[in-house]
Amino acid sequence: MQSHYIYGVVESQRHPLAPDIRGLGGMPVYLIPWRTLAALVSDAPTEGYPADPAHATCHAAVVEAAMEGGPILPVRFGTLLGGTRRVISMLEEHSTAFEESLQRLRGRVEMGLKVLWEAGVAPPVEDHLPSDLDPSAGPGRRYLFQRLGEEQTSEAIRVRGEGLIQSIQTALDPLTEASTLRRFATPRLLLDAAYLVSRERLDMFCQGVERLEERGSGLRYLLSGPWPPYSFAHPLPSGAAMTLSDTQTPRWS
Amino acid sequence: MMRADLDHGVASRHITLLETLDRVLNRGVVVAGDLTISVADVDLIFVGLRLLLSSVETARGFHLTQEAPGGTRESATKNRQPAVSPSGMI
Amino acid sequence: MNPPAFEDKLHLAVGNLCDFQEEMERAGSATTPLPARINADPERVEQGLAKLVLTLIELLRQLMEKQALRRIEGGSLTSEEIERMGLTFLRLEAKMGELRAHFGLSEADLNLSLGPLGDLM
Repeated sequence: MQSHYIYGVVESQRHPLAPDIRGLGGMPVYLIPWRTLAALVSDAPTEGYPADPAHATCHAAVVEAAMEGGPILPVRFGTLLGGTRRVISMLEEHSTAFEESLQRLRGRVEMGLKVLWEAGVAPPVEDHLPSDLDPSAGPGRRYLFQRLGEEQTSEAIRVRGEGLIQSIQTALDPLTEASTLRRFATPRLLLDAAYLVSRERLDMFCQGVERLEERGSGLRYLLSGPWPPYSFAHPLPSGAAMTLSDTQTPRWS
Repeated sequence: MMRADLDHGVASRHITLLETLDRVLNRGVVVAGDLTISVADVDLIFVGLRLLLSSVETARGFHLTQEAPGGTRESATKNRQPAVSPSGMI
Repeated sequence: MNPPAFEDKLHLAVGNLCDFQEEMERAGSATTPLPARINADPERVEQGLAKLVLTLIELLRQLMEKQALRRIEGGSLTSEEIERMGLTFLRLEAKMGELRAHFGLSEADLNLSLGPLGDLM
């Protein structure tokens, strides 16, 4: 029974993939259809392939090429299904969610934004001792007052950072359909975000980021894309919009 | 070719690689596969950087224009064992 | 395999790209949060358990320290009480350092990734 490595879920009615595209292990990529859906797969050995940059990049190239011919739900690296029947039952099981997602993602791309903020790094700890601390204070008190000072500084920095993130979101929300954010991934990496943007509005979105960049405010921007919509491909739970914790907050329109 | 351009090119390709890896490995639909390959013990950043460094060194040696590192440098990763687990996720 | 067609994926990269590269690597975005394969090597198992235990101790220490800071701010403690507490925290910090060194763990090792919820600490 043949193992299939799966790259993504697409519509069965779509433009064919370019014939020279090769998947992992140099294998041809093809569709296993079921009704309006299809799995984009290649034949693979049962043990799969190691998760290294070469294989991951090849996987990404296949998804990228597929995006040219229609919407695609990118599947995470490293999934193998044994046999055609398994693939079809997988499509059938999640068909409603897949169809809804493909509709939602048609004609949309993902853009990545990373924002560096030098002021996000707290000043060195020696500055945190309150000036009115009794010079004869013992090491225990000095330690705790130092920690208190550090905490207050961190809090002030965080509040300022949140304000900056908010103004970025306010500027970009009208130009995007969804976003996921990772705030304060490191002290300097204020924002690590992915945005879902329709192709027609892509230029406007990029200009929007350029305008933010022109504002300065001590922020530096790195815009990447367009990418296939990896960050927005997971099926919505039935019903309302998804909310996660502060570190990742997808917002659906 | 100017050193600064070469370094910018390297950083640019490395960042693109990081962005690609982040998406392909951490995002996307998670399907209950019969086999799901996890990335347990492979230090991808390190391996990725080595791939890029080796291609830069080669370019310098032969005074070639910048080439994107192709998916062909398997030798850097051959001694890494895949960490596989027959796990399923939603 | 195809050569990756990822030219021109970066726009608006202002200034020094290396800074972005550095932060992205620190943020660990290109390594997976998927659970590691279970390694039955006894030394690794011991280190894995130590990591878990020390992470929990570190979490508790941070929570207790926050409690202490709130009480100091609230003004309900005498100088002597603050000094005694501070010394305790300093001793605990030193002890943690010893334990980490014993198991070959860095400060950064003591954290748990909760996937979409971010890191524990």
